[in-house]
Amino acid sequence: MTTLSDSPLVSRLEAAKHCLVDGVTVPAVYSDLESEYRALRERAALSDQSHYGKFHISGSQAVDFLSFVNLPDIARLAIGKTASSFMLAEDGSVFAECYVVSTGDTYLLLTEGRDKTEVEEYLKKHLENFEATVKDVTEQFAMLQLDGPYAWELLKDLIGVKVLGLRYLETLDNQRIGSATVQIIRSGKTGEFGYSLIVPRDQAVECWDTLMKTGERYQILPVGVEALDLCRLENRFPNLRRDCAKVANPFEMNCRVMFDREKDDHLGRSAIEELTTEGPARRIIGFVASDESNAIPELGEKVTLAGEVIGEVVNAGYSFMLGKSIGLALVSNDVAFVGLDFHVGNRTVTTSSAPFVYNKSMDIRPQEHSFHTKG
Amino acid sequence: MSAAPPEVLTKIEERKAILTAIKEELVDRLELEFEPNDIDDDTFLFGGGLSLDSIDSMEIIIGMQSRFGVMVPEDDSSPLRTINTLADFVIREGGSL
Repeated sequence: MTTLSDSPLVSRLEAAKHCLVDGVTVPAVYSDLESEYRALRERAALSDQSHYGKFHISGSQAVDFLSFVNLPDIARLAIGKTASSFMLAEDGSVFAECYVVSTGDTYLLLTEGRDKTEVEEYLKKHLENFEATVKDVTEQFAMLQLDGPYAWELLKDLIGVKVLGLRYLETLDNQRIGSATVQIIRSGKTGEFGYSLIVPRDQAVECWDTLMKTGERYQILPVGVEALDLCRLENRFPNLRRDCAKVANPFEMNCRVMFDREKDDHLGRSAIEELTTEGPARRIIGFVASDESNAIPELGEKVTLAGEVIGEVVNAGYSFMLGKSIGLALVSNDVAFVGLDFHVGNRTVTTSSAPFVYNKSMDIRPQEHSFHTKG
Repeated sequence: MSAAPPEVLTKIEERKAILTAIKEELVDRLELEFEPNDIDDDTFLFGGGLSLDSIDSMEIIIGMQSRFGVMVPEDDSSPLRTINTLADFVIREGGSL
């Protein structure tokens, strides 16, 4: 377990509430969940992502190794691009979530949803048939995350207009934020503009402080895991700590398009291939409470249709944007469709399309809009 | 198979028909490397998921008009999020198969 004092940003992570994520203690809520949520949804928000494992994968068969352990084909990944992916176990279940960043001769693997020591063991276990090496660089780098509909404008103030040309899952290397040297990945799991910032450990505080200082003009707030997880739920990004903790395979997570029929053999392939004809037994479907109570359904609570148990609640929260409780249920595949009324306890919920919300970032054109004119 | 009431099963079959037609239209029109059955209903069109781009969005708008007779307004991108949000729009606008 990694305690807060192990983080290079420990002095910046004082919060009202902390929690354990992937074996690392991180801020859950700095001061107030709704304020942090509003910063994420309306302005700009900064968070520490110390729970990510970070690994350099190199060698002549680095790409073959990464393709073997990942669901999508990493060989298709161009230099300077990033894949958002799942690493699989032999039985086709999801072992961890990750970003694979192609930097040319080396790949950067950023892992989430699993303690990094378990990830390292997993990688080394499957490495034996490949000419590749794995180097754990988790402690050498910090990872910050800047999200929000005006995150792009804050970064533009610091590194210039080149950030505007950065498309989703593209990277910019060797950028200066204050005196820190930073690798920037356009990413995020909130549905708003988002950027992951990889920075050497000894420069992390400088980077954090520069972003917070410049961010004052965007009313930036530091945000904890609870606000990030709520936005993640609203936008239906899979969350291995929550909704995906009980799934048996990626198909139950609605991630069927990540499976590549043409790809060479990989971990879990035979189990996944069977699903392409049979389909998954269960599937995650979103739901919205029909009432306006802010009571949040319990995880594991039974979901029923016409009195029959069809599944259980696997994630839930109160959407400040909708003014209603929302959630995800893992239910029988044959009834995992939108527009149906289910029951959770004595409450009626209606199944709903992904995503739950319409993001402000969808309407923002960086060439035309600015936080300062609220356009 | 769950013992869902007949009216629920009817509703599911009606939605399935629209979802399948949308997937077929997208695969055909955009020449996607997927089979329609390989696309989940909650698959995102842009960013992750199908990883489409802004040019594809015009093709989707044209496809919805020609296949279902519904017009997605150019200034409203809310239907263009996932297969399911497209289906919501088609149903709301009274589109026909």
